[in-house]
Amino acid sequence: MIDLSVKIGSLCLKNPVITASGCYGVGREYGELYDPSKLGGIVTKTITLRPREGNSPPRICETAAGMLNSIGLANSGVGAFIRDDIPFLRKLECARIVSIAGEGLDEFAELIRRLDPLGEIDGFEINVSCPNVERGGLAFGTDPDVVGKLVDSIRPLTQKPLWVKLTPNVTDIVKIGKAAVDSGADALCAINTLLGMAIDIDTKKPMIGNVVAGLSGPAILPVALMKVFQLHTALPETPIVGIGGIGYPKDAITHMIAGACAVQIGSGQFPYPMLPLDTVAGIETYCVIKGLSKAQEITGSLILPVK
Amino acid sequence: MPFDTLSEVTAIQQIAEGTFRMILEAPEIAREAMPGQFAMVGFNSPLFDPFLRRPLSFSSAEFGRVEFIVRVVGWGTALLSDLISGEQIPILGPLGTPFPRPEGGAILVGGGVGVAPLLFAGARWKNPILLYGEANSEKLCHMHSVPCEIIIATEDGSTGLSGYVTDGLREQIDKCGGTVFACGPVKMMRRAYEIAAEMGVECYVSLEARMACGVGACMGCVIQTKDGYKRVCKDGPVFDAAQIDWEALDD
Repeated sequence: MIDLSVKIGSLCLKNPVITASGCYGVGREYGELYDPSKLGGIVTKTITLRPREGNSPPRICETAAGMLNSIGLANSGVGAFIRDDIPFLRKLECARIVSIAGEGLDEFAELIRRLDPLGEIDGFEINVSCPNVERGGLAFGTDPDVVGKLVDSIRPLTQKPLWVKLTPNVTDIVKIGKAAVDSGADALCAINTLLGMAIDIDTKKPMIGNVVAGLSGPAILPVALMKVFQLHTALPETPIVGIGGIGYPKDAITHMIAGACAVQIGSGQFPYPMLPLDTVAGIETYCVIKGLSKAQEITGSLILPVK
Repeated sequence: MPFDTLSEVTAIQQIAEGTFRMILEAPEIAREAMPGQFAMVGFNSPLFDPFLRRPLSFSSAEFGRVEFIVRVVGWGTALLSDLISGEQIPILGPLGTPFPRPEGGAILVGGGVGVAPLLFAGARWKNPILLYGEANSEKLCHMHSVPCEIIIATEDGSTGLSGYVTDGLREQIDKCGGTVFACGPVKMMRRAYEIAAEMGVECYVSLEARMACGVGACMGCVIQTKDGYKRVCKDGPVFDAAQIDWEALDD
């Protein structure tokens, strides 16, 4: 019997597979295909204080082994989330992580104040890839001081796990990650989408209404793996949740070998809706083949060439 | 409830220029599929090229098989058209909101491969009439069996009536009344809606959009309606035409 459970700080997951924010709603739709409680956890779509309509369509576009998206954090706001989605989350027997984003520090704080008392929430994922209105729309996640201040300001407001989801669109992801951890983040999630664009040569128009968008899918796996490896090397005591480019169960295993203690699966579900569940099975099979008794033994088991 | 299955291609045949009829063995999906619903049809593409599945409306669902009409417009549809009997592809369905079943008569207006869901409706509903339009006779889908009364129009007049498929709509509404169901190019659907609205009859349209998840989770396929953005995959693909912001819709 393989022990698939993993610990991410104080939070224990029954297995290392989590669905990524924005690709899974709160689990209602994919919940018609399989029981989300079989997963280690889910991260909800990003919730904001006020409702957001989201960006003008087209919002998605297929690219080589991946896709671009610019949804614009469309959601009905925290009030509707508490009313409509919390009752659904109550029924799930897996870790329920709520992704939150604000336009300024006060909005993040207000979101935590409203959501922290709810027993249906097991932790928060801070989405720092959204534009910071106080700083002229520049993403929060691109400046270590801003990320540090943000985590400082919300850390006292909750005892629940705080995960920070890092953007790869920076020169040094380790600096940002370190700032988050120094301010009390319990785990780092890496990576969010890479910025990109696509153009129609016939109309000469961008393929996405918002012009620029986030690239995801198997095309970004090598980038994600390197970021996870860098973070794990620099911060060996910090739990890393690996995200980016998982298209097959084996890709999740590479994230873990690189240093992730758990993984999130996002757009890989679109061509392969059962991927999260198959990844749980794949990790178990891998443990059997490699003679491991615990899935957590995979984390950071990378063998580097001898110099 | 949708099912994700690996389905065997039982037949694939060319029915018009660049247009194929594809039949898949998918008993659970065929049992539940309703006219207007669709499936996310995937590929055997181990390197994720193409990455996303393609949303295709059912043109028929019976005897454990589902049928689609595929027109080659890009790499994905070209791969689908190259499939041969016996190959297996992943399909997820049935998905989306079906056409509301009409209480009185139904006038179906199909342009191009938009005729697919209307063929399904034509086979399931009582005595509808189908107006089917194409650019020319080369593109006109060859029907192995016609499910209901059908009036064909081609823009160049090479087969049937000459002109747009919507040209004959007013006369049909006059003759038998009923609800209009349209699927095809945006311009065609908008025209069908305008005629229906002028004559005081209801009109439902089935829209198309690029989709990622197909189940309502990712918010990628929205269109603008009078009640804000709506997901084509979950709130649609069938919409009350009066609810759509036609100005915002690109063809």
